[in-house]
Amino acid sequence: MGFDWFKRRDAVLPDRERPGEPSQIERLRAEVRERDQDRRLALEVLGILKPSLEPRVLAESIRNACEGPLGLATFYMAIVDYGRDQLSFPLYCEGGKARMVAPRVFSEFGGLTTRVLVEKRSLYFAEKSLQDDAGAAYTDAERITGLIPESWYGLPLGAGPGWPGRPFGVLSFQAFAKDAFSPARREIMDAIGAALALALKTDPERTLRLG
Amino acid sequence: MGLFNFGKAKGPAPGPAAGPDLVREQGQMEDLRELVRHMDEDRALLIGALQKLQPGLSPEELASALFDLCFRPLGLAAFFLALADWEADALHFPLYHEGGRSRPRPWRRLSESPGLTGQTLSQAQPLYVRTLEEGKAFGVVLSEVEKESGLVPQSWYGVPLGAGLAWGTRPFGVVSFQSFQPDAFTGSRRGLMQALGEVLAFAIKADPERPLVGQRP
Repeated sequence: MGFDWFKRRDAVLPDRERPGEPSQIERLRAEVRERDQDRRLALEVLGILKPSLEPRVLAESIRNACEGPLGLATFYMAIVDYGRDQLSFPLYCEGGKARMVAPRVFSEFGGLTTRVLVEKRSLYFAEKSLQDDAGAAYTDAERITGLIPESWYGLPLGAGPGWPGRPFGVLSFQAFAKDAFSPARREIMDAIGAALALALKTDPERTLRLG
Repeated sequence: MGLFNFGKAKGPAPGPAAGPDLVREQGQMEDLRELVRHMDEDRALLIGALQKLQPGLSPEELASALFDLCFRPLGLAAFFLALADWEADALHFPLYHEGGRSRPRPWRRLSESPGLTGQTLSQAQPLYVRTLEEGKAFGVVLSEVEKESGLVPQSWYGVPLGAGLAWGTRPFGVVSFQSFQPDAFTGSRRGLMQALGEVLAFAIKADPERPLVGQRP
């Protein structure tokens, strides 16, 4: 131990933390944990997506994979049929179970789902008051129990340069905690939505031009 | 499967540290920062693939987009997409990247020279070959450039495209990642490359106009 030791000590001291705050190493461990969880989630979802499955089956698989890691209170998939002016919900999970939600007339339904479809982009509301301002339409269960998720994230299915026309659906992730989804988490949710959209529209029999 | 058991391995954060403890903690932090960098790279690859691989692109364009994303982070020496025409007993290469650029590679008869690609197709699961010696035992087929230059990748990882009952009886192609380093791809990286192969398979066969399963046309 000599001069070198003091140099190392000097290099470390400015980074030492204040009492009561997480140390740098704890923060780094938390970063690694979150990244590891995101990575496992993304790989798990890509592993379970298969072509030619019904939207409900694929959505259920995604919900099962995401519910724990993302701390979801509510999760649903909405599919829009523009020709029939109908918005249907192949999967709507809230209060810990899947509920049947009757199809709605799309043009008459002005909730957050519609906004995502019309704006063709993901929307995030970090608390309930922001959802109210944006025109949220609550479910019967939410109105009766008053248990309304604070964080609402909805992403369009089938939006982007390779997708002609309008999105064909929406995936919504919701949590009771305020501002529950960090930007990094929302990126992972977008990636999951993109993978789901591809899987839903994949045709294994599609002929490729070869040679 | 957890990637890293870092919490247990590293133990609790040290309290007011003496000199050697500080040095140890500094080392742990460097390890963790390296881990974060590595995981960010993986994350960027996955997210990038799902942003770039859009329906409506040709297999060549899709493979090229995937190659551009992967080339540097994965340290690739070669990369290709092979598509199988089972009825014509032919293997086509819409994209074959080696020696720093994309080169046309002629089709070949699958039954006559299956090579590592044929092995991956017939087994319908990823194939990892750690060294060239191992590759020779599997019947590797060298390209003209490899034969002339003698520069042959040591590590070869092939992912079948469209493997599994939901896809049909046989995979429709293979994406291959190669490196000059022996045993270059860790288990974690191979998991990532397999996931990238799955995204590529979906994108190649996606048809935005296709009605959803169970939806009336």
